[in-house]
Formats: sequence, structure tokens, C-alpha cells
Amino acid sequence: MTDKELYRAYVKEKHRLPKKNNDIDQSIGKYTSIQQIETEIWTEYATMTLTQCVEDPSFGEYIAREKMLAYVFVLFQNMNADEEQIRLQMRSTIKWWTSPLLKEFKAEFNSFVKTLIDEGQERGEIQKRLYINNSYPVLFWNTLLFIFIFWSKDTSKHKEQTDVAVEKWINLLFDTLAPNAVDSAVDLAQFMIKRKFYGITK
Amino acid sequence: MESQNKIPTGKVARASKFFKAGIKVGGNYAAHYTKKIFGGESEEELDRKNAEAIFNALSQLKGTALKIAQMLSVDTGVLPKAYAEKFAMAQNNAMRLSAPLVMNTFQKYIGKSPYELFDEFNIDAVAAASIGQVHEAYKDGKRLAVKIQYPGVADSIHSDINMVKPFVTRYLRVSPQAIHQYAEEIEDRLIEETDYEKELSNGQEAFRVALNHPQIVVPKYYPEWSNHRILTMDWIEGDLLKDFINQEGNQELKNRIGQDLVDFFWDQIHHYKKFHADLHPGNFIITADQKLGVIDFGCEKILPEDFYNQYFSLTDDEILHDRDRLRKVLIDLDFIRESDTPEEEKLYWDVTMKSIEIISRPLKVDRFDFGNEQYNIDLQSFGEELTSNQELKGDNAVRGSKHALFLHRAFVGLFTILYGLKAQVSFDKEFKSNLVLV
Repeated sequence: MTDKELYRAYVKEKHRLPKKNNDIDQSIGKYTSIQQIETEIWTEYATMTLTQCVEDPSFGEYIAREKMLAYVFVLFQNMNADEEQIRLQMRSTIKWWTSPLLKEFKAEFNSFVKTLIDEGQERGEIQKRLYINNSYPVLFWNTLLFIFIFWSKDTSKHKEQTDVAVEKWINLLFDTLAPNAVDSAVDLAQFMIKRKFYGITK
Repeated sequence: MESQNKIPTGKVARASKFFKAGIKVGGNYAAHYTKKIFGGESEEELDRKNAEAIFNALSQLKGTALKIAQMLSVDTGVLPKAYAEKFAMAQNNAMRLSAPLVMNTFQKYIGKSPYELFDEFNIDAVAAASIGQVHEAYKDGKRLAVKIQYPGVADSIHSDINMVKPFVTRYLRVSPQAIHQYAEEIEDRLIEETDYEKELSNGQEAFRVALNHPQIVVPKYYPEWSNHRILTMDWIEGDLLKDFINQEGNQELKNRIGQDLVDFFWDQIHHYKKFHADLHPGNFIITADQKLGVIDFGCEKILPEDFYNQYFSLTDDEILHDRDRLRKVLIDLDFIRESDTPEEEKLYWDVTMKSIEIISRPLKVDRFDFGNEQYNIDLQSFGEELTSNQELKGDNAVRGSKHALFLHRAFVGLFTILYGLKAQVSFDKEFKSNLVLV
């Protein structure tokens, strides 16, 4: 068994997280730590998810919104098997969303999101906005965290309610980023300011 | 409690829609009585305004809430018939699953993508219904219909019913207890309807029943590409019965289609004591070789043996002419009650006998012509008589075995289709030989 398998087997059997290396196996202590195993599992969710998405032939045809939906659906499918252990981690880690546990996972997620945003802006799905353009990835990350929390509390069969929530959250996110009335207002304001409000200067 | 906390915004928002309609109905009454004092608005106009207010609120609902509202309001006559069709249109605005969610549903429940399962799969839905959407697929040259259910529908049925209930009770001016058993019956049927595995076995059973009816086509169902959220069946080519009804002429074919429908329905009821309880023109297809295709076996009602015998005893002249035995049947079926005063018993006795006479009229003769306007007029005026009779108000007037609810719904559906076809049909009287009279 690999370290990750040992870790998972431990949680399945004892319904608690292993604390020391000795908890899961005498022999692994030499070259790894529990934290390392946990971080690796998390990184793997992100890498696995991306690979699975790219392997799906329809993924390439999706617009950015659909790509994000597909990514999140696959991600949660991958996490569903580890639900108990993720819930335990969320409970036992202070501010788990900023903990080192997720550091690499977040980096992987962010690099996916950045390509997605670029693509969305090229296609006109996502509006480029002055000053806040660079904080778009933060919005994506926060959205994912909200879905995480929902998922961890979802007791419906096959986590069906999470599927509904994912659609609603991602739609809200993309509707917010799409060109909208505020952009037109800003555009108009810029125009008026340049024309000093009354449009007599050329 | 848990499930109600999950989608709080949706629930509050939807409940507030009802609340608004309630205020509007109340407001309409207030306006009506003021106008009445000064002589103005008619009762009809008030009913029309109320119906409009209710319809506007209900049609903004989605999924099951819409369906329940439809059953409770249209089927019980709260809303005039004209709104039934508008309701059907409102259904088409139901949610649509995004392509990734369709893929996710396949991965989650079958473990494979639809492109792996089928040779061809159209990711854009070709039709939407209240609880799911239909996709087109091909496998080995066969055209298939793949139904995918919206996630979370089954979970929300209970809270949807509870949301619609107070609204209906207030409109009918009855207590929640009075309609409790009917609401329960509707909930049971709807929950079954969200279980596609159940629909699959219903469909397979109907497929076997249809083997005795060469003019009926039931699609073949594919368990290997189905589970409780995905349902795969043969695609039945043809025109919707709805469009066929509207075509002029060809009365002979219309008679034959009507007869096929009657025979199939009758066979289901009397031999299998289990029937298709959602008889509306959208669930039937006229195939190219002029057979009747039956789809959607999600809503099936099983008739308990006792109820079946009691109910159909009412078609028997021997029982109808034996007052004591008849009284016992009517009590068993909860049309009259032991607790009734002699006046009440007479009232409900008369109403029941009148409805039995009307409903069973087509069953009594050798051949009945649904093109006969008089029958439709009688049905309508009897309906109006029931709703306008002031004595039939309140809890005490809510009567009848809950098993009769979907049976009546099916009869109304069947008769409406036959009336649309203006069909001449005969109901087989053979079932009486197997009836155990009570």
C-alpha cells in the first residue's frame, strides 16, 4: 500500500485522522510526514481533475462557464470518496481554507482558473475591468470555498443538492463577470469625462 | 428540517409568491364586496380575477411545486379548465441542465459518459418536462430517448407539497386535516415518479400488457443504460396525439385510436389493477403505421383489491337496486359517513348517485359516442353544480377514498381525450364476471 492508501485506510477504520506517522505505519516515518501525505492527496485532486477534464472530448468545445462547471463537478466526484477524511480535516484545522494543507491545491486551481479567465476574456464571456481584473481568481477561489462548505454539510442522497448548488454558484459567478450594465455605465462615464461632460471639446 | 435549510432563499422566495397571491385574492374579495354594495362586479368577474391571480403566482413555480399546484388546482376545480393548457405551457419554462451537469449525472450514476454508452448523443435536450429533460441518442442504428432527471427534485417534493397545501386549503376553505390523505396520496405518487427505476419496471410491465394489444406500442426500456435518475427507452416516431386530435376528418381512424386507448386502459385496470394515471395527450403518440404509442409510465396507480371491488360494484345494477348493500359500499368508499345526519346522508347520497350515473354512462351502453355534445354539457353543468352548491363546502364535503383520486384523474383524462377525438368507443363489459360484489 502506498502512503496515501494507508492514510485513507486508517480514516476508514478509525473514523479519525492519524496524528503521527506511527499511527498508520511504522516504516514510513523516514522520508515523509502525515502533513506531506495530506498535502499530496489534495494536490492529486487538482491534477486528477484537470487530467480527467482534458481527456473528455466535449471539454474542448465548452465555453469558459461550462469548463468551470465541468471542472467543479469532476473535482467533487473525486473528493466524494474521501468525504469523511476531508470533513475531519476541515474540523480539526484552524482556518483550513488558508492552511498549508491546501497550498499546492490552490496553486493548481489558480493556474487552471487563470487560463480560463484569459479564454473567457478573449471570447467576451468575461469583462476586463480596471483595478479589479487581477482579483478575479480570488472570486473563483471563494466561490469554490462556498461550494466546499455546502458540500461538506450536504446530506442528500448522492450529494444531489451539491450539484444544484454548483450550477447556481458558477452561474452567479459568471453572470457577475460578464459584461453588464455597470460596465456600460463606466464606459459612458469615461466618455463623458473625456468630453468634459458636455461634449464640446473634440 | 435539514433539507429545508439547504435552499432557504428558494423556499422563502417561492412561499412569498403564494403569500402575494393570497393577498391578491383577499384584495379581490374586498374590492368585490365594496363594489357589490354599490352594485357592480359580477361573481364571474371575481372568479376570473381570482383565477388570474392564482394562476400568475402558480405559474412562476418550477418542477414539482408546479405539478402539485396543477393537480390540486386544476383537478379539484379551483382553477377553470382554460388555465390547464396555460399551465402546460408554463412547464416548458422549467430549468435546463447544463451540458457539464448532464455529463456529471452520467458519470455519477452509470460511471461512464454518454458518449461512451451510445454511438451518438445529443447534449442539447430536445424536450423539457417538469422533473427532467429528454435527450436523443443512437445505439447500433437505433434511435433512443434518454430522460435525465433534474437533481434535487425528489428531495423537494415534501416541502413543495407543504408549501402549496395551505394555499389550497385557504382557497377551498377547509382545514389541512381534511385534505391530508389526498396530499399524502399525491406525494406518494410524485415520489414514485421521481424514481426512474420504478418507471422502468412499470414500462416493462406495460410492454408485456401491450403484447395483447397489437395496436398499442410501448417503448422498449433499457435497464443497462438506466437507473433511478436516467431512463433510456426506444424513441417512438410519430405525431403527438395532441396534434392528431386537432386534425380535421379521418373519424374512422380517430374511433379506432380511441378504442385502442380504451381497451388498453381497461385491460390495465381490470386485469392488472394498475394503470397509467397520467392520461393526457402529451403522453401518446400516433405512429406512422397508425398505432397508438404510449409513453411515460412514471405515474402508475395500483388499486387495492377491496377498493377495486367496492368501486366497480357501483357499475352493477344488482347493487344499485339494493339500498342496504349500496349504502354499505358508499360508506366503505367514504362517500357517505355513519356520522352523517339524515339530511346530510341524503345530500351526499344524491350527489354521489348523480356522479356515478354520469361517469358510468359511457360504460353502460354498447357503443358510446363522445362526439355527443350533450354528454359534455351534462358533465360541465354537473361540475358547476358541485362547485356552486353552498351546502358542499367545508371539511365535511371533502370525501371519497384516496384511492379514487388518481382513478378519477385518469377517467377525466381518458374522457377528455375521447371527447377531443369525438370517438365512438365501447367499454368491454367482460370485467363484471370477475368482479367480487360486496
